[in-house]
Amino acid sequence: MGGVRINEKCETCVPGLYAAGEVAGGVHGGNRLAGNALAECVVFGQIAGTEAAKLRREDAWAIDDFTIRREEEKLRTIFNPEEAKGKKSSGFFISRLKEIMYRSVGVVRERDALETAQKEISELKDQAGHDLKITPGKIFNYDQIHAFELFNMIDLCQMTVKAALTRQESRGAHYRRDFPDLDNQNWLKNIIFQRRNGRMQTRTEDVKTPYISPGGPF
Amino acid sequence: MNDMVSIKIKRFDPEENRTYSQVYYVPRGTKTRVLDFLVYIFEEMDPSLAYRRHLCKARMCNACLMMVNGKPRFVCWELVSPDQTEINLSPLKGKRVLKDLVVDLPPAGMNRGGEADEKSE
Repeated sequence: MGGVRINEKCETCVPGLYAAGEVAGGVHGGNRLAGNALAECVVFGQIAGTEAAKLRREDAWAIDDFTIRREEEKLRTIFNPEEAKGKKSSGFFISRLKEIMYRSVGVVRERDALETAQKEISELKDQAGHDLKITPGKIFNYDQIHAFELFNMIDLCQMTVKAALTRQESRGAHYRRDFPDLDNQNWLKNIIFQRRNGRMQTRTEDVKTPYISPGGPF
Repeated sequence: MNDMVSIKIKRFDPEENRTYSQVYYVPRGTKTRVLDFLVYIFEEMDPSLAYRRHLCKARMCNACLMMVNGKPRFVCWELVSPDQTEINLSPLKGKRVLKDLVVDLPPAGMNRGGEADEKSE
């Protein structure tokens, strides 16, 4: 199932950022049993913790000034409510986003619904860009927290919808009504999204099966 | 079913140190639990209203504990009967209020063991 891509040290493609547990993808293949995340978070949590501590001890990595300034800029727009002159709250947009995902990107998926969802989400993103109102205040302000979450959620939803559209087969937890069968010929692949130069890029990579190949003799 | 429910909330603004009451008139629609009404107020009417929004909705995490009509209740579970048209909400008694309906609670799980938990810290 989907998630943050990690290597055997739990490293992500962002230097210094580790992922472990349910947020990381690919450990259980196309589907996962409920409750398996418990073992996963223990095993990978230990690996991630050890590796992160090692990195810190070596002092091999530090955040550069450019990254700090870029994040500061992002925070400033959220904490200066005067700059955002909209009417709708971030909670409003999040509940609309959830509605779209629940309706169209649920257990049974098909092309038409996914394409509708793709269109609706990009419309929502446009609307959120100029029609977002953020409540001032620094104590227990969920509106500001949701403003952070909203744009990350939109990005993730776009990735999910695009991946579901790209994968024209049914595998594990992904079921397409228009492609109900497993297709090991064409889709023994991972679909990978990465941000490059501020844009979302998609590529596929073959899954390595060095020991047993699916469909072959046991 | 399209009647309105008036929800009176005792609010606290920590930045101006001010306590006040506010009444919201919420259409009943298909809402059944007190939490549904709070969600509606936050998302559609007033995002400045603070209550703990990360919760389990299953009476386990304690994050949604507050006084409903004067009694301590889990609002994620507390039903609003179809003939009820008034709800009074105030923060949980005996705890320090951080903002509106949010009180200072220990993290979920930490408040079960009592003394043993405090010593191990």
